[in-house]
Amino acid sequence: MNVTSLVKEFFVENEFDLLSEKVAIIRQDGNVLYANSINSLEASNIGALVSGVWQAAQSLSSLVNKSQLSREYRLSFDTSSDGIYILPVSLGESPYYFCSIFKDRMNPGKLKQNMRSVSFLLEAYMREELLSLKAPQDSKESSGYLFENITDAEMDQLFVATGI
Amino acid sequence: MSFVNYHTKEINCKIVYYGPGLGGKTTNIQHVYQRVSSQAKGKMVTLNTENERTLFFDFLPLDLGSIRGFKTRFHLYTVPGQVFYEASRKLILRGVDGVVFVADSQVERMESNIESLEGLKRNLSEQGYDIKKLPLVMQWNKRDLPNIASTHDMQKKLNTLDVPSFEACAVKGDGVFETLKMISKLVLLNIKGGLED
Repeated sequence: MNVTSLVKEFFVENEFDLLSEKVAIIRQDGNVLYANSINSLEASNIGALVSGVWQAAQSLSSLVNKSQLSREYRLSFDTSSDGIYILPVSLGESPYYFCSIFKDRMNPGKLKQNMRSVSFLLEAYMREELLSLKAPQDSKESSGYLFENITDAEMDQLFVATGI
Repeated sequence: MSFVNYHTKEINCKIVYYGPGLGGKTTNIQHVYQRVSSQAKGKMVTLNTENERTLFFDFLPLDLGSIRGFKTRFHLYTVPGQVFYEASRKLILRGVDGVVFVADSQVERMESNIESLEGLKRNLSEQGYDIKKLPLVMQWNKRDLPNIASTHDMQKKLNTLDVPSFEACAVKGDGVFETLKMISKLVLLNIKGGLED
């Protein structure tokens, strides 16, 4: 089990993946940790855009508020029925974004409230699970480089999949 | 920072195309988008102005094949090149795994190239990166135009770190994949973490 599997398990087993049309947990650099989207390339698009919009909003906010109380912030872009809602969540040591894209909602406020509750549950769940995971995984994954060498033939083969 | 999922054997990496305005960064990833098969690419996201200048970033997720059992996905980003978008460039560099510096070969653009490269060094440094340790590839773009600087001159003025460099004409696709292949290789070789038994 790793962080990605744990987050997926949390969402699927508790049916939080059904919260809205699109639900995703995104790392600060735009990498997607979990998404309920079937198309993983679409999930990558969501990751890049959510990370970008959050960081742009954070920079704007810092023009008037120098203290980085990022945990207090949330980001909404919505009408009375459709929109996007993003919350920061802390999983282990890294900040992540919990994003929902929704449409045709009778009560988006209720969805946002549910998301805030889910974010607290997720943080608590991950705190507990990561404690048991952390030590052995770190020692296994941090030694040296993943690839000591890569040949040109291997690189050519890698690009064959793109159809070039 | 690359994202390696040992459980599902997947690698995600972030490559940023950086350089002066109108240098051909967007053209590079547009060419990649046009050439790769539909299964290997996602939707290209473009956040640009009315006159098609990059406003925030372009983004293209690209699925390459597998290497030693690891599926690889590269996230290609461009930054806006215009001088006044410095704040956006800083944001986009967060978590970067490798940079392609797209330089405009025209003689009159040399100052802009130098200014942009200095900005790259400064922005990376502000975020705790050492440009000497980060995978970096230089691309001398627009080699088809008249009044271009010699590659010797480009190397001397811009490639003081002596990283791999490629001549290109991105509108025709020349040099685009050679550059991408090299930066991909350097990024993969730079991923930390030994293989599991």
